[in-house]
Amino acid sequence: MNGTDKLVRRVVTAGVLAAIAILLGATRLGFIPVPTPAGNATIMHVPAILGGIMEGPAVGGVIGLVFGIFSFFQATIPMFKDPFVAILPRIFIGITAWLAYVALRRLNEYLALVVSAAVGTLTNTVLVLGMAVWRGYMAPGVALTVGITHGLPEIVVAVIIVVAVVSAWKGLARRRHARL
Amino acid sequence: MDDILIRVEDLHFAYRAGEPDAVPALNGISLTIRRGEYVAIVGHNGSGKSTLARHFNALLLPTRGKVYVQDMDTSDPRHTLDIRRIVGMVFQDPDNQIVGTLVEEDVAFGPENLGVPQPALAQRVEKALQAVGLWELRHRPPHLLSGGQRQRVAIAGVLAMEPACLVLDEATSMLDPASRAEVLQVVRRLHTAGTTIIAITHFMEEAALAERIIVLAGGKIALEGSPQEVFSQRERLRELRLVPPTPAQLAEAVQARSGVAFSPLPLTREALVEAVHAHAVPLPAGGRP
Amino acid sequence: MQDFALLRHITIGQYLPGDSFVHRMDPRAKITVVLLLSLALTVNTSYLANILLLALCLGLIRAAGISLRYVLSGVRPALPFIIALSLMQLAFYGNPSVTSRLPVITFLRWGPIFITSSGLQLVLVSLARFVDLMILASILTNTTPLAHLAYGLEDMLKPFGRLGVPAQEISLIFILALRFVPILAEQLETLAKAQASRGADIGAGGRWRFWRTARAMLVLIVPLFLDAFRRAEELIVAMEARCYAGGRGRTRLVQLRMGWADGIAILICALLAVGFIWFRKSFPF
Repeated sequence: MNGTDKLVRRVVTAGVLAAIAILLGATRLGFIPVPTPAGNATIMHVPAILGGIMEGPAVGGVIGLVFGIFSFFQATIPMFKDPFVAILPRIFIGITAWLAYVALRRLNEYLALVVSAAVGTLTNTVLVLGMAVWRGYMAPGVALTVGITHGLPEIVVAVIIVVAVVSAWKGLARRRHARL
Repeated sequence: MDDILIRVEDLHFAYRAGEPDAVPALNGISLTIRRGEYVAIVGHNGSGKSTLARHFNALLLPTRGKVYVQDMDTSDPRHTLDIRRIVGMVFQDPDNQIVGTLVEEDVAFGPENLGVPQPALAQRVEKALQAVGLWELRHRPPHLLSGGQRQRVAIAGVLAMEPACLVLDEATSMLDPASRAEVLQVVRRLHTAGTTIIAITHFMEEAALAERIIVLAGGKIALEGSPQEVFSQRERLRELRLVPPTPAQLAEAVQARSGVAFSPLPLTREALVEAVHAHAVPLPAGGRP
Repeated sequence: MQDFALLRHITIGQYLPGDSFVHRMDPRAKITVVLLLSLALTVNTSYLANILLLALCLGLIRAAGISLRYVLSGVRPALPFIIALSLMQLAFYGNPSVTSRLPVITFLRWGPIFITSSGLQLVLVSLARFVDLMILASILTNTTPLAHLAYGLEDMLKPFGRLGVPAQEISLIFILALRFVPILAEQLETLAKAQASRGADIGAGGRWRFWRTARAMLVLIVPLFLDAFRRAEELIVAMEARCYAGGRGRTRLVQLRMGWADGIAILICALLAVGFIWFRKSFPF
C-alpha cells in the first residue's frame, strides 16, 4: 500500500462515515431508547469514534466536524444553534477515541475498543455540556444531571456498537481475502 | 507492433503473495488486446476474470510476469496515472463509483484529477454526456436516475478522461434487462467509434456481441476464439460449466432434430430468426422434444 | 417502519432555487457574511444591539424571498423543550454576566430560585440570537446548493494549505457524505424491511420495551455500518481507477466568481460586525 492508497482510503472512509452520522441525525435511528430519565441515548457520535479507531485522528476529527456542522444546521433548540456547542466539541470525539485506542491496542484489542468508545462518548458529553454551561444555556447542576443520565447509557450503547461493528468488519475482511 | 494496446506476458497473481496463506488467482496468462478490438472475458465465479481485469489499469500488480499498456510497464509507478487514463474502468455497482452530487460534477471528476483546465474541462464533460445520451440530465442528482442511467453516468465519467480502452467489469450484472440493453447499445456505439472494449461478463448473450472471447478457468486461459469458434465447442463448454447463449442452444436443438446444419451458428436472436428463415427449416409436425 | 419510507428522497439542507440577490451571492461571500454576523451577535448581550441585529437578519431573509414561517417551521416540535429550558435558565441563572447599563432588579429569591431582570435579559437575548442563527443558517442552506458551500469552504481554506490544511480533501469528504446519504438511506430502508419481515418491530414499543426496541435498532445499525464499509472499499478502487491521487494538481468544473456586489456585502457586514463588537459595552440598554 503506498501513500496515495492511504489518502484515498482516508477520504472515502471519512465521507461514508460522515454520511452515516448525517443519516442518524436525520432519522429517529440516531436515538436509542433507554430506561433512564433521559429517555433516549444519542449514537450520532459513533461514526466519529469508528473513524478515529480505523483511520486515525484526522479522519475522526473531520467526521466530527461534518456531524457538528449538520447538527448545527438542523438544530431547532437554542443550545445547538450555537457553533461553540454544536460544532467545536464534536471535532475532538474521534481524536480522543483514537488516542485511547492506540494507547491500549498493544495490551488488548477488545479492551482498547471498549475504552475508546467510552472515551469518545465522554468527550462528546463533557465538552458539549461544558460549552453549554460556559455559554450560559445551562446551570452547572442541571448539566451534571443531564451528563449522568445521558452519559452512562450512551457509553453502554456506543461500546456495544463499536465492538460489534469493528469485530464484524475485521472478521469479514479476513474471510473476504481468503476467498479471493 | 503499433496496434497492440495491452500485452500480458505470463501473468501470475496471488492475493497476499509471499505470506503462508497466499491465495493464487492467476496462473500464467499471456494475451494481447489490439487497438479497436471488442473482447469478452468470461468464466464462472473464482475463475480470475475480475482479477485479470484489474491488471489492465494497474489496480493490481503482477506477482510474476508483466502487463504492458502501450508499452508502459504497469508495475512502474511513474506510469500508473497515464495507464489509468488510457484504460478506463466501469464497475458493477453504479452507486459505488459515482462521486459527484450532480451528474455533470461526477463526470468531471476524472478530468479534474488529471488537471484538465477550463474550458477544455467543460467541453469534455459535454462530449462524454452527449456520447451516453444524458446531456439533458446533467443537472440531476445521480440517485434520482434509473440504474441504467446511473451506469451510463459512470461510463461518461470514464469517457471524459478520453481513454483508448473501456473495461466493463460486470458492468451490467446489477441491471434489469431494459437497462442492460440501454448500456450495451452505448457500448456498441463507442466500439464503432473506435474505442477498444474489454467486457468482463458472465452473460453469454453479452459475450456473443464481442469479436473475440477469452474463457478463463482456474486462473488460466481455457478457451479463446471468435464467438462462433467458442460456442461451437459444446463438450469443452460443458466441462467449463458455461452455457452458450439461448439462440445458439435453440439452433443446435433444431439442428439435432431436423438435420439442417446452420453455418455460422446463430448467436443472437436476430441471427437465429434469419437462419431459420433462410433455411425454411421443415419442422417435423407435432414435434416436441 | 414508516419512518424510513421514502428516505431516498431525504433532503438535507433543502436548497430552494431562486433568483434573489442573496441567491446570486458567491458562496464564499455568504459564508463570510454569516460568520461576521454570527460573531457580532455572539458578543452582544444588550437589548438594543439584539433588536438591531434581529432587524438586519429579518431584512436579509426577506431579501432572499424566504418566509420567516418557513425558517422557523422546524422549531414547533421542540417548542415545549425550548420553553422548559428557558424557564430553567430564568429560574437558576440569577446573576449572569450580562453587560447592561440597566440596574439589576431582583424579582424573586427563594431557595435555589433566583430571578432577576438580568436573568430575564439573558433569556430574551438568547431567544433572539436563536432566531438570528436560524435565519443565518437558512441563508446558507436554503439559498445555496450544499455542494457549492463545500466548494466555497474549499476555496476559503486553500490559503491555509501551506499550514497543512487539506482543503480539497475536506471538501471532497463533504461531497462524498452528501452523495452517500441517500444511498445509505435506501440501504437502511431495505434493511428495515428485511428485519420487519422477520418480525422485528422497529419504532414501535416506547421506553418500557426499551430492550426490544434497542435491540431492533442495533440490528439495523450494525449492518448499516458494514454496508457502508463495503461500499467504501468499492469506491476506493473506483476513485483510483479514475486517477484520483489527492487534491494536488486538481482542477474543478464549478468555478466560483466574486462580483463587486459580493465585495460590498462583505464590506458592509465587516463594518457592522466591527461596530457591534467595538461598542458592545456602550449600548444604553
